[in-house]
Amino acid sequence: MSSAEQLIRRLSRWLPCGLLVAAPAFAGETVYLTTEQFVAETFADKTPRIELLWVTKDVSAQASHILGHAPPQLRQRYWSDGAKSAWVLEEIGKEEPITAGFVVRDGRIEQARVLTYRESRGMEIHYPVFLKQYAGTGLAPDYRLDKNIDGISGATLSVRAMERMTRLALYYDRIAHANK
Amino acid sequence: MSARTRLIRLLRHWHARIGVLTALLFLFLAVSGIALNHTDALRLDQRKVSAHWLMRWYGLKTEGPMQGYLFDHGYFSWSGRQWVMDGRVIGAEEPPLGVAEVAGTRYVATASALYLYLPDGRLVDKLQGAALPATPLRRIGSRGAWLLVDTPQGVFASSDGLAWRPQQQAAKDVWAHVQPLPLQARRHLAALFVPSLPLERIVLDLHSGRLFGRHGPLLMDTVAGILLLLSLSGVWIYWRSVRKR
Repeated sequence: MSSAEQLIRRLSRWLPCGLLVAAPAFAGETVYLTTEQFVAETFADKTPRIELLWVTKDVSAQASHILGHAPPQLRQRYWSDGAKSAWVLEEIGKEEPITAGFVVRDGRIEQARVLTYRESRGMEIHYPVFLKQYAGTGLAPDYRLDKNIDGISGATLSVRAMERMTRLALYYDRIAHANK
Repeated sequence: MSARTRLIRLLRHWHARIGVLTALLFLFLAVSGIALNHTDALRLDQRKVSAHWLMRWYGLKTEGPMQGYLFDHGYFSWSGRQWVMDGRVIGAEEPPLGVAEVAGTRYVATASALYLYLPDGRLVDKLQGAALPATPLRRIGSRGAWLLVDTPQGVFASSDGLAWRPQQQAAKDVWAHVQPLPLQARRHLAALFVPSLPLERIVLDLHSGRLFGRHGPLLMDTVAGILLLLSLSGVWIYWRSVRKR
């Protein structure tokens, strides 16, 4: 076998591994779950009416404190059947917004899901093994999470974005309850 | 004086002169090279340069949008993926397919989403997916206190962007259409959309010489060649002096 053939053989042996490592870096928008599917799963197909939370000046100030920037919109839609509420939020990880869904019951996260991921790196945050850490998490008095969330190396910004959204969902749920 | 000594003297003489003459260029190449190596840290790709003379040098002209959608008191326009309402950039999205104002809320439609804005530019809500009666949206318009959207499933009306009800086909004149912008708005937009380039591009073009036109890279190649010669002559001069000792 010539040395050129040997080289091609070696390369072809390693190429799939290289592609596997490189794949996340080239990923575009990935929809794991649509908003409709998330809501349908949450409420077992008895989807309640959409409710509105108006982001007033005071709410906006606290939300800005949580996010590190002003909340993107003045009207936040959510779904609630009285026992639990579902929130779909967006937050930029590094450059692109991540869409995530949160189910809150009794002031604690029941479920967190990544619905759409658009960043080139950090998509590992959509794995259930990472997301199940959020279950049972509540808001501490300083509006941080009252439970430590283990990060993922190489996905730091996405993990932080996820944490900010979780805090915001819990805060919005608290405000929604107070408004009722 | 031997021929060899004369050669060395000549070499030293020209090595020093050429070195001094081209020192500035070397300095520039070194500094720009370091800057390009640290583009992310220096945020060169995010810093915009819009100096009028430089943009003219690049052949970039100011071309603000001439058309848009008019409200009773204001306008909406866009350039590329940037949306502008009453002189404020309010977002970076795809070109809209229609804009309408209903009861103090300004609705901007794309094929897949409907954006609700207050007249001061604050985003109230972004509706997409199941929050819309159907997609893709084809047209948007208004009739009295009702917002109308035209979709492949028919025309739907809403007063708040939350509840939708099917409508009979609406008359042609209810649909939003692009209009020429008033002169004042055009002037404002021209000032807003002054062309700019990322600093990284300019430093790169300076480093490679492309900023100086077709022959710029040749000039930089010549400078690199001189640097090569100076390095070789410098090493040789040093080596001779070490050997003498």
